[in-house]
Amino acid sequence: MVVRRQRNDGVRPVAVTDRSAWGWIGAGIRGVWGWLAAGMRLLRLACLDLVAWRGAKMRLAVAIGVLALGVGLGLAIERVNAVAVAEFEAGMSTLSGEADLSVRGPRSGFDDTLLARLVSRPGVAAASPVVEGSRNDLASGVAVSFQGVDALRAVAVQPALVPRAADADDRLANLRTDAIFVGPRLLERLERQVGDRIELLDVAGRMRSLEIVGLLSGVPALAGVAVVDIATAQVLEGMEGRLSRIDLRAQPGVSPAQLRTALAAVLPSGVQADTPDAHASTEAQVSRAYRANLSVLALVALFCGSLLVFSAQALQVARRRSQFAVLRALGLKRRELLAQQVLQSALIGAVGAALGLALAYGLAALALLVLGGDLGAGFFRGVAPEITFDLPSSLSYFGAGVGASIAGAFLPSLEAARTPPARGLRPGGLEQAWQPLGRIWPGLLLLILSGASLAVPPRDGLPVGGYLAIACLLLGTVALTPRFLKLFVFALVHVTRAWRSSAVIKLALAQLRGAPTGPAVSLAAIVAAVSLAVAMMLMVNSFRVSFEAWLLHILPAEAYLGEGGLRLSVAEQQRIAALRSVGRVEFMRIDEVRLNAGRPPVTVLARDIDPVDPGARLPLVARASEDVAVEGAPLFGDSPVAKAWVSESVAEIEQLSPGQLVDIPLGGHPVRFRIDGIWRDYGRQQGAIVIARSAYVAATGDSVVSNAALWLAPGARFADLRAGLRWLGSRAPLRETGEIRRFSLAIFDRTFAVTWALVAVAVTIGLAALAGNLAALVLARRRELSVLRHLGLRLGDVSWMIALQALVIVTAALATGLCAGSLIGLILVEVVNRQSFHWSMEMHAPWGSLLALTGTMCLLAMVTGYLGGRGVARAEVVRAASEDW
Amino acid sequence: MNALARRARRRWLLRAVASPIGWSVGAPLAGLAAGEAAAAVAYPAVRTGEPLVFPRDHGAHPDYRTEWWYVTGWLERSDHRPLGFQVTFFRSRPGIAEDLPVASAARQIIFAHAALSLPEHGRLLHDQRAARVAFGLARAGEATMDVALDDWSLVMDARGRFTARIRAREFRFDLSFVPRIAPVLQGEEGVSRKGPRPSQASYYYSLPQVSVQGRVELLAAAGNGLSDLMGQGKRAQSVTGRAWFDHEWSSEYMAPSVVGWDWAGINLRDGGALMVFRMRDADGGVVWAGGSLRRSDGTEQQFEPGEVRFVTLRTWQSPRTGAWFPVQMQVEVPGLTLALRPLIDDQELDARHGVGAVYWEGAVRAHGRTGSLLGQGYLELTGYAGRLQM
Repeated sequence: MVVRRQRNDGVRPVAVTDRSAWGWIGAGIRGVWGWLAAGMRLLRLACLDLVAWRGAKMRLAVAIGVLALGVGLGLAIERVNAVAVAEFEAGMSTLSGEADLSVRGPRSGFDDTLLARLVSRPGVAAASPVVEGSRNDLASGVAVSFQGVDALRAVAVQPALVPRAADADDRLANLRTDAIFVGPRLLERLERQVGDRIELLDVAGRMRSLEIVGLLSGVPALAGVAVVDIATAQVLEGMEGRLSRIDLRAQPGVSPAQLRTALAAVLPSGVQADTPDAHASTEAQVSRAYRANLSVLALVALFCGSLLVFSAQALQVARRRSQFAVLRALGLKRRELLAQQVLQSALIGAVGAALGLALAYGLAALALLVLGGDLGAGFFRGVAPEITFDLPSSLSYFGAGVGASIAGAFLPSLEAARTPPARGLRPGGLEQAWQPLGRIWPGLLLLILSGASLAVPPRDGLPVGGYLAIACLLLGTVALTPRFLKLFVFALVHVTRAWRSSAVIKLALAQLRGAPTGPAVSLAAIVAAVSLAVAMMLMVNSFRVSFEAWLLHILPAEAYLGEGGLRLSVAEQQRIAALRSVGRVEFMRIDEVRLNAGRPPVTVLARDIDPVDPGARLPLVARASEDVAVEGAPLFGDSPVAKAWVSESVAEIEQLSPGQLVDIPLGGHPVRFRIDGIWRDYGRQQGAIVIARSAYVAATGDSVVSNAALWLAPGARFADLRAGLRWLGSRAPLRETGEIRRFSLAIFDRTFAVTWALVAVAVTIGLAALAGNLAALVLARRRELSVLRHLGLRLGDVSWMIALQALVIVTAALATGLCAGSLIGLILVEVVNRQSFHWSMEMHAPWGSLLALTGTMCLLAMVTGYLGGRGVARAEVVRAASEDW
Repeated sequence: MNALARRARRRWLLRAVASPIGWSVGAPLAGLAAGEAAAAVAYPAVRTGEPLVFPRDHGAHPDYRTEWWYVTGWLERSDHRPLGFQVTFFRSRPGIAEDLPVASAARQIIFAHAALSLPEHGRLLHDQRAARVAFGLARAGEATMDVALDDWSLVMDARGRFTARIRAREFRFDLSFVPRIAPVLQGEEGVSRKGPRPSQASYYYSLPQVSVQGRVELLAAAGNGLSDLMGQGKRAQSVTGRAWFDHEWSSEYMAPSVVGWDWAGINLRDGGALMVFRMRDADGGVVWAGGSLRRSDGTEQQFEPGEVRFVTLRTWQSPRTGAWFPVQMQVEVPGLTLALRPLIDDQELDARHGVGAVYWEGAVRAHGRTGSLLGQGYLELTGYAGRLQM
């Protein structure tokens, strides 16, 4: 094979192959060797052809960069999610050790006599009672999460929770009520050493001094927790006579499912048995929708990248039509030309994807460091996973990157290969190449499909319909972009015709009108990027505004008590209420109950609430009709049924509506409530139920509270209140409402940090696409520009003309992107968010950000257009005009 | 001064019970006994002049540091083939968690140990449990003998009969015991010296020659090779036999120089009962010894330390631990010499995965000088695989 490289003035380098060599292959040897040789040949050809990008290094670099970004972001998010969930689940199952089943009840626990009843059941080999809790270290304020175990029973089920004391002679350490074993990570945070003491306040405010007698070593999942004796845990949490959990081992030959069935009859209402794995995944399920949404956003970044590759490739192919025609005329077969181009794009894709892989692992490590395993969402507290290399996911993202690149090149290459050499050699035939892309029906079909897929119900709590709709909407918009640009220019021409506009404007529009499809194709990437940026901005902003409003509604008091698992006895409640600086106080007890097995627990907020006007405290979105809601009306049997207000998640997951009855397991018995309303709760994704505190006390006999909302007495100052509550000590730091709001919003912003990063990426892609697009526009027009210059147009006029064209194009892209983005944002808010998280919000457009985005893009377009036009018009007057056409 | 070392034996067993769960209460108790650690709790002392009262004293004495109920014996299957069994319940007040007013605090801990000696297979099946007295799962009643731990229990009824219910990993048994003679009060009216210092003592009485009747079942976990043990492929069988019961409680342990001890309790065929023990130090020297003989006519004789002698006849090395045990012993007391021959050699309990307690506790036959079978009982050998106090 002979390869010659010619370099003509104004003509790109061309790789020309000797026909006889191809003939040799064609005659060729069938079988693997022949194919291999052909493959190698093509590869060399493709590599040689890469030289053709010499004039478009920037564009190539941008395409590769964006591809790398897409692959990198996608894989990074996937990795972080995967390791965090794996670590989280491992942690959950480590706590339950070799248990076949874990019995769990409400957060307030269940009666410890259940243990004896379970142990005596046939099929139970071993049972280990656990009391879970968390108290703050007095000295450092660090939260100490602990598992209170009975070492003598735990060894048979969770040996990891029965560590050895550092002092080998202290064999009773695991039973001592003044001893604590601490995980290494927690120990580091506490800044203590084995042998030191830590002071924890129990719920009653008494200080408990515990000696750190050993490390919880060897089990990474336990690194952040502590283990104490079960009696100590009961005292610390005020759970005397109660348990949080019982881990069970089944007798040989008894399956967990059989055991579960056998135990069902013994378990009180609201207490359920589940396998540790199932429980861990139930807990991980809480974050699943969040993780899925992030992954979809990351895929979208990859999609944008591939669009950019597509437009870069398309432009490149379009520009080289005549070269391809020459190659074809010289004997390169159509299939070979196509293969060469596809291979080339695969190479480009491989480079981009490889960079993306490197980027992904770097980003993932960084994200873990900065945001944590849950990417800032706070789902996996205490989990500190490490990024590990994962071949399958890396390969699939690598493949996706390469695939995106090939997909981007395939259509233009196919068109180029199909074009008869004679036509391809003619100049100006560029637009023909885009003919198939100008078709209207695929885009319309996609838009219709998008609307239709909104009707698809969520599957496994994931809004598949919403995702599908967004994908179709995006693709449809991209497909219709050329048509839309045409329409836009047409409209502009007609509008400007009415004015007495300058020649420059007329020329600019006429040129665009003449051949709008080419630029329109590269416009697709801008449109996609703008749509996504707008959609995410709209969604996050709507959420944030709604969240702020919600915070205002949900925190009506001036100050709050209730951190660190506070427990206030009735006497203490009275003492607080009697304070002179307290104008009004409302108490709340927070508990968790399990409405259904296999579902995460639902929070019960038993609070002082006016049953006639719950809207004063709760942001209600629906309420039972008035006639039903007459207080005390014996609508259901003889005794009036207490009211409950469920959050949107509970309403949707449990299929509840106002007026319905619901049984809530309280104190081991189902207690009947009537749903009086549905309220919006952004605080607890797994759902919350508000009931009157009196109802809770009546059902459980437990009048201890965990939170207090305080209003200052008229004339009282905050300092008075603080002084009046000094006796609480560090048991319950008093928080001003503003402080809580700021803190909550900070958490909110942290949660959406990754989303904002993705918005930034989308905007970057948009800007990169815009710059590349304009460069292409200028290049494509250089001959016309030189002619215009020859005809007497001044340099400034030409530059202005290009700038105007850029403005028109970017305006069209922005308009399309804004429309599509708003629609996608709407789908995100109304479908994806609702189905994923079950919460509603009002749409709030981020006008400032949108204005900044559009303004920046318009300005950038005009500047790039002006400067680019100036450069080309100046340099190429002579050369371009002399180009042989 | 008779049954001095019984307590030591049990203390050691206590550790053995605890060790398989990877964690032990025995060792610190031993440490406390040796005066190595100061007890925060004031335990009552064992004093003479306070006669034992039954059935109250069959029950628990939770103020004392440690207490045990201990049954060993020979069982006969329907085809007259023998089995050895052991059931022990310990109660311990470790002196921790006393200040925390929560029912679940580990103020009282119950340990239980059960074993079955299978002569045809030369195997010892054994299992153990431990639990704090809490959650309604472990108890040690004070009115009469009433100890339980999950589904294991040892309970006496109003007529003085008692039952042992054991649900081990590899076997189960339900045995009823009928005492045939009044309790033998060891030492001075039930106060038994444990060492050279008078304060080293315990309350101790025995019920020898107890009739046993019940049912023994081998579970699948014991392996299929054992299915013929109960005859005709049956896994469960009714059994009868003769047992030895001990109940002992105290607050203070024996001399710290002791590394182990040898003990035997033999039900003689003529209706008599012999109990002997010796405490050994690290050099094999006898620190203390004692025993008692109850003759068939009801007369009792207590032995001074110098009146009891053990002679090793044959040793056996454990393939698991490498420890040598004098599994065949000759015991001599004034007027009686018995050669003790084990039912099987391997009656070692290897509980090293924990604190490393290893001991030998086995059914033995007692032969006279002429070789005639004079009785059956249990021999206990401790401290042969390293010092027990670990």
